[in-house]
Amino acid sequence: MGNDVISQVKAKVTVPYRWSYGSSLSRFFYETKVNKRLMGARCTKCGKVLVPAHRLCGRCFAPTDDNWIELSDHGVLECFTVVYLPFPGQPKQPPYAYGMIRLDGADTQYPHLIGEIEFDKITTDMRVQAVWNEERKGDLYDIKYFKPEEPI
Amino acid sequence: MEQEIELRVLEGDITVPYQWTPGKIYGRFLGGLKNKKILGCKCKKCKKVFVPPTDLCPVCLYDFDDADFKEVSDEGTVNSFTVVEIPLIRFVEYAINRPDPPYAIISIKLDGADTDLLHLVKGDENLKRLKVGARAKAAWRDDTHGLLLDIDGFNIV
Amino acid sequence: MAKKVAVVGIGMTENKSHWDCSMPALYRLAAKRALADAGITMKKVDAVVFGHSPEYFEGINHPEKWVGEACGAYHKPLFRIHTGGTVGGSTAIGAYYAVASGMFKTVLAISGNKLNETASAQIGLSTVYDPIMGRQFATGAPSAVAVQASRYYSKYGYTDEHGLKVAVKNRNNALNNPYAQLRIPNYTLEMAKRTPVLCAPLRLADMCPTSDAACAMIFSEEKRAQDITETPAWVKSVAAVCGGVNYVDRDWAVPIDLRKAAEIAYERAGITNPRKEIDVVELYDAFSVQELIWSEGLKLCDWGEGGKLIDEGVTYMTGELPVNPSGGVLSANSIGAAAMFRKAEAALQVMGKAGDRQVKDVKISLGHGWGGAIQFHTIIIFSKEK
Repeated sequence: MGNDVISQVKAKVTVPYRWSYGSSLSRFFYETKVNKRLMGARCTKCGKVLVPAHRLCGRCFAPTDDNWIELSDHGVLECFTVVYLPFPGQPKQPPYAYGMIRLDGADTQYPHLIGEIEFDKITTDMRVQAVWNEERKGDLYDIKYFKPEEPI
Repeated sequence: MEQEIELRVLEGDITVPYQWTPGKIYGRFLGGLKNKKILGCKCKKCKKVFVPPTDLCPVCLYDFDDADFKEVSDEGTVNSFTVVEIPLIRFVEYAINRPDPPYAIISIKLDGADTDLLHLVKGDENLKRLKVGARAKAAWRDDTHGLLLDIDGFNIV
Repeated sequence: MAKKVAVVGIGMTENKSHWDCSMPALYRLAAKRALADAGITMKKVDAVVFGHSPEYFEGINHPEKWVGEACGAYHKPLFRIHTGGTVGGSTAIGAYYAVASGMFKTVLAISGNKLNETASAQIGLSTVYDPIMGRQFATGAPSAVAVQASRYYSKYGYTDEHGLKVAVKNRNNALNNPYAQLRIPNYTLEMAKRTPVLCAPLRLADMCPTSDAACAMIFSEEKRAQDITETPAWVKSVAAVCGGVNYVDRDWAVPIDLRKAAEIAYERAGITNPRKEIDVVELYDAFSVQELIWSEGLKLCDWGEGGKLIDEGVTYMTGELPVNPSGGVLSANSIGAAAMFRKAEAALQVMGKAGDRQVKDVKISLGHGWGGAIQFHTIIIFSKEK
């Protein structure tokens, strides 16, 4: 009788997906693509402005105002990280910086990359502004990244 | 009236490489396949022979060990089957992969075993003769890897 | 009215790469050890609550189909629970609910993962991110917690040294825990500071290891608990809270969802001064800085005072309120079992069975778990006295 013991079985699993944007994100990214605008929606109950715009406020379950608000593409970098850690199949090659941005006029945070700055110069609470891509497909990368705000 | 916005879909995939641990019991079953032998484990309590063996007899909660291994025949009786006609996206890549349809997935009780093994029947001649109760024998690949598909499929005898 | 419930048996596997052991065998090892600890067989167990975190870690969906029988669940009710990193806590609480409701007398809670089955746990963890809004630059849990850390350190004027001190404390505690994975003799702050930055401000030393492990706990109703053991760990209260993602006015440094869970748990247990009344805490420090942040959420100190706990030595084994005597998640992280280890360690402390990591005279202990972005939290408070 054979006494070999197989200790590992190797395989690669790949699953294709189609993730639905839904009506709100479809409209939100239509605006970034066509009009280079970041749109928020105001909750009809608590009055807070959600970005990206949703039809419902997740806290109040109240509908948001159908008249979406154009937000500034400037804001405050509330927190961030610089990623050096690699892993197989990583969607973006390190090193890179990203963080959570409170856009002027918004009450939620918007995630994005931070560019045009040395990593060790990035600080929390710094002012940043969007750098738009010339070619836009209607996704997060319609904005290339956020960079330090230029003096007015 | 706001303008009609096209509903969008993001297409993508998730790809993950794995190295699965069969453990000492299933690992030894796979090692047996590499040597073109089919091994089962006999429960010391209920005396049933599990092919393929899992880590334990789930009914008696008896944990199998090396002494419980027993070689069974590579021939047996087909208890159930389905013929697969629809091609499925190949979502998992092994060292050896499943054939293109049509092929049958069979549930076969090998002589000397008390459980069924899931495996394949392929080839027009085999598929024509496949029925519940048919006798079938393993057709071994020349190159074996310690995988279930070291058995290329079962031929109807 | 909920029935009185106690933990009567605990089974742990070692946290390491279990290359010789299938996933069912790993769960089985934990289940057998818990049954042996309680001195009972599966005949006395009425139901199994099964925990496992994202299937992408092992690439096997519906793992309870594959592992259930190894837990001894054949022809018994089995329920699966999944709440990310805190699944082990939710699983224990699920078992508690099942007994406290009066539906079952004895229930086995079991939870685990084999993270070493995948090329990198960060692949699975990155699939947790929204594919449309952020997965594009996700780097698993480390990058999310690094974002949390940058906010915490800058908001209160702490530095990464505060996190690293937690890492050194917990790794030294781990030397007393035979089930921990990282057991590094003479681990110092200087050694921690020399490790590379992986997701700024977090260094390798700030991060948990990748483990395979399972943990099991047996919950019993009052009478049977007293029949089974002389040292049951009585459940004083449980709390499980779900928060939101990207909610209004979110501040990553202020875990309001954990605070909510703590308030519920303390009210139910009749605790008004947690810092004084609790003798030992096991919390979910997957990353060093989280011990400071969660301590604030758990009201062990005021908002913004978490860094002072480590500066003033409060949370050391020799301190006023030891936190993570086991070495915590920083010394062993299988994800699926990690939050149950926190509960099990807390239970062992009131049972007086925590071996070399035992804190003296423990009457009340707390076990915590964290999952999701920063929003899923579970707490169990144990008491030595019924």
